[in-house]
Amino acid sequence: MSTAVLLITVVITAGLLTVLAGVLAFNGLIRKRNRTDEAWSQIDVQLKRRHDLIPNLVQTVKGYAAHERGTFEAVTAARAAAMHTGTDPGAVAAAEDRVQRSLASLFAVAENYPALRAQDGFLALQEQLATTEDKLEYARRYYNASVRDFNTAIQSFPGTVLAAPMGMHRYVYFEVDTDDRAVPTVDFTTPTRPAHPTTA
Amino acid sequence: MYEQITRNKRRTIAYIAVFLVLWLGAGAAVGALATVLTAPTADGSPPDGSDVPAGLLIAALLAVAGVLFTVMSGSRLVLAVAGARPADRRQQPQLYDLVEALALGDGIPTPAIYIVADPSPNAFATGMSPARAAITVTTGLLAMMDREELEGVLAHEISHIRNYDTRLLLVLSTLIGLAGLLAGLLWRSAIFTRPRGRANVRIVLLVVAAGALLSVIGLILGPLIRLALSRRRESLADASAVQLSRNPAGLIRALRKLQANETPLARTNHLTAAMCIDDPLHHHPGAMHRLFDTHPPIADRIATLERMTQGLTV
Repeated sequence: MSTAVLLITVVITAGLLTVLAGVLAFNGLIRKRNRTDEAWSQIDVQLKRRHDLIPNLVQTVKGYAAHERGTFEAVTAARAAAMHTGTDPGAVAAAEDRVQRSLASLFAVAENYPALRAQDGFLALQEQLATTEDKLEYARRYYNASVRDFNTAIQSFPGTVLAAPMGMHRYVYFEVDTDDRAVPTVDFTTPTRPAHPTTA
Repeated sequence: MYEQITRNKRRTIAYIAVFLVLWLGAGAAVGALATVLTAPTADGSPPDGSDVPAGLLIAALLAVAGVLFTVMSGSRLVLAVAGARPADRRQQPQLYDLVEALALGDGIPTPAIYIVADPSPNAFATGMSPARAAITVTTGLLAMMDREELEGVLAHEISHIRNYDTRLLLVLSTLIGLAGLLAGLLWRSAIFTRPRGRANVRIVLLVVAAGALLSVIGLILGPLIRLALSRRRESLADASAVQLSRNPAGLIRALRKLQANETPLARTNHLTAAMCIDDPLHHHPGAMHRLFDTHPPIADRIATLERMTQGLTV
């Protein structure tokens, strides 16, 4: 009799503990997922801000360098493409990388027009874009850290048991796939500094 | 990185518990003293009750009031003591942008930004939670630091907020401050009370005893607890700052400039000292201040950061 009571107590206790552990793990997963979603929306805010700044910038530069049409078109096209990429972080990152590079060449063009570089509106836009890119970089790091946390949680026990029934899948990092990007080859074999510095 | 925060929250509760035990002990001791001192009545009959529960109750009420006050308006008090006023976004766009970017990097809401008009470079963070936090910088800091250095300093302060160091320090500082305040009050009333008759002498004795106990808590034990804590918090905030900004060079250069600085902060006290990036009391002469340093020496902090730099590059 007493062994039966003991057995039942043990079973019930073990059951309750399992349920408790399950609830805690469940809440942990939900918290990590929400944190990642929130981090992504912060990236989205910065991307939208950059998209909003670009038409103004193009307009300003056009006033000084109307014949650099190829550069403008590249920026406008990259922006349009980026605005319709959807929500896959990998695809967005690739599209935004193109935006960033087209902007870099736009600013390189602007370098040739001293009057433009001295204009207040242009300087303000340049500063705002730099600030946005700065924030984007921080938002990206936080998002990627959250993704790493979440992915680790759903791949390790007990998250791995809960993830599938909860319809949770791994999140994608917000970063440019290195294969997508043409990496310039740098040759380190030739010394960039004179081999024999003159001795005083 | 979140285990660190959980541990910090737990530690806040543990330290509050330790403090409450000390505090209640003091209340009980005063109650016991009161019992002994008022016991021998004129006819020598035994005392009809103990004052220990009353002492405990008063101490507990005061402690609860102190903690409640901190939760409600502790950071406002700190900002007022430091003479901080809200920073204007249009006048300080760089400051705002840096704080916003760093807050994004730690996934916390952007803290309120305050400025203290003081030529001495310094910065501190305060607030019960990241959602209700504030970062304060001096005009001297803004004048002295370039963008990268300012980013390092702000990353350090954001880390204090993210790690819940600000809550820990705020609560501890208030409890310690409360003990010190009460001690001062009791000493004063003991000095200005003219004993008339035996009963009054006893009361004065009682007040002096209570004052002495509170002084021990407010001026020695409390600060020592806080010191042990805040030195470690500073090192941790330096490390978190580098993790956040990924740029140890900025913080190293900023600390070098703070090390070379000789201008002391005008408005400072022990309440805000533990929260500053550079110990403002360190610039004041006196061995007592040295004994109660809230920060590890800047040279050590720079050395640690430089070791981290090598670890990153290797």
